[in-house]
Amino acid sequence: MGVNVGTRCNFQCAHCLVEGKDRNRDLTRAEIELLRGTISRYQPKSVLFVGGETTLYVGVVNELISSHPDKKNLKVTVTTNGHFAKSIVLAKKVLSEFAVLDSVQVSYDVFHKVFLPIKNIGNLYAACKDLGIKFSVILTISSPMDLTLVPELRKMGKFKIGVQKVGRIGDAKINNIGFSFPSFDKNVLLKKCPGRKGLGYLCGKGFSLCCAELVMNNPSGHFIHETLHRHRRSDFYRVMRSCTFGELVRRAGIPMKELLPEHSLECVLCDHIFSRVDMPKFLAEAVQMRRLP
Amino acid sequence: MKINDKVIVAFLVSVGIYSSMQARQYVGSLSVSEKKSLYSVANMSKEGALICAEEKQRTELENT
Repeated sequence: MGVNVGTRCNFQCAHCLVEGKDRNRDLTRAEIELLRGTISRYQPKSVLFVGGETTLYVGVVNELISSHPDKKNLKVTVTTNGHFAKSIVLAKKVLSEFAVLDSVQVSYDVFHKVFLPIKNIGNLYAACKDLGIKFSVILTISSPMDLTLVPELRKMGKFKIGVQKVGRIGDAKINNIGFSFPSFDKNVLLKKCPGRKGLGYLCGKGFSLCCAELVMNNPSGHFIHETLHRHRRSDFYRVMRSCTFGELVRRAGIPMKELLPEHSLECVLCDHIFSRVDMPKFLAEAVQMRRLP
Repeated sequence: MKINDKVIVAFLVSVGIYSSMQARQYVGSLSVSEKKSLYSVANMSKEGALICAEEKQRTELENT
C-alpha cells in the first residue's frame, strides 16, 4: 500500500509529477481518519510513504503507523529527497523520528541534483547503515545518458540504484520533460498496468492503483475512489488488474499506426487509450467480455 | 556493431530502459564520447548495483 501524505516539498524539481499549483496540499483530518481506518482494517504488510517530501510529514506518518494492529509484521518504507542529511548525526536524528522504519529510498537524479548536495546521499547511507535500515536510490532518467550519474553515486557507497523513466505528468509535462524512445516498442502491448499489484492513496484525491496522469490531473471519478473497498470493486480496478495494454488498444479501436514512440511507456499509452474512449461504457464492456470477477 | 556497443545494448535492455531493437537504434545514434560514458556505467552495473525500479516502485506516487 502506498500513501501520498501530502504534496509539500522544499525542492522544486522540473520533472515532478505534482504540478506547481498543487504543491501545498496536506491530508485533511477526515482523510487521516479514513486512512487510519483502512490500515487498521486491511492490515497491509508493507506501507510506502511518499510526498511531497515525506520528512515534512513525520507526525502524520507516525499517526498512520500507530493505527496498524500488527506493527511487528509491518514494513515501512519512506521516500525522501534527503534534504535533512547535512551530516550523519542530522540524518540519524530525522530517521529516528519515524515510529517504524525499515527502508529508505532517496531520489537522486539530474533534477534533484540541482537542490541536493551529493554528500547528503553519503550521509544518509551511513546513517541508515548505522541504524540497520535498508537504503536505496531512485534514479529518474529522461535519457540513458542520465545514468552517467551512477559513478558519482558509487563513490557514496555500495547500495542499490533503481532506475525509472520520467513520465510526462504534472510539471514534467508542463516543462516538456519525458523519457524519449527512438521508436514504438510493441512489447508494451504485452504488459499490464505496472501499478496493478499495489494500491495507493493520493492526498486530496482518493484510492487508486494508478499513480499517473489518469488520477493526477483527471477529474473523472472512474479511476479513483473515496474508499479502498469501492476502488477494488470498480470496473477500472478489475480491468487494469487483468487486461494487457494490447487488449485495451484493440478494444479502444486504436490503429497500430497511430502509436508513437512515446507510447512505449505504459502510463503514456494508458492515458492515450482512456482519452479515446467513452469510459464507463468501455470499462463495463471490458469487464463483461473478460467475465472478470 | 562493435563489442563495446553490444555491451551497452545488453546493459540498456537488462535495466529495462529499452527493448533490444530500441537499444540498438539508440546506441547507433550516440557519439564516441557518449558511448564511452555509458560503457563505463555498464561495466559498473556488473556488480548488480542497478535495477529496473518501475514495476516495484509504481506504488510510489511521485517522482519525489
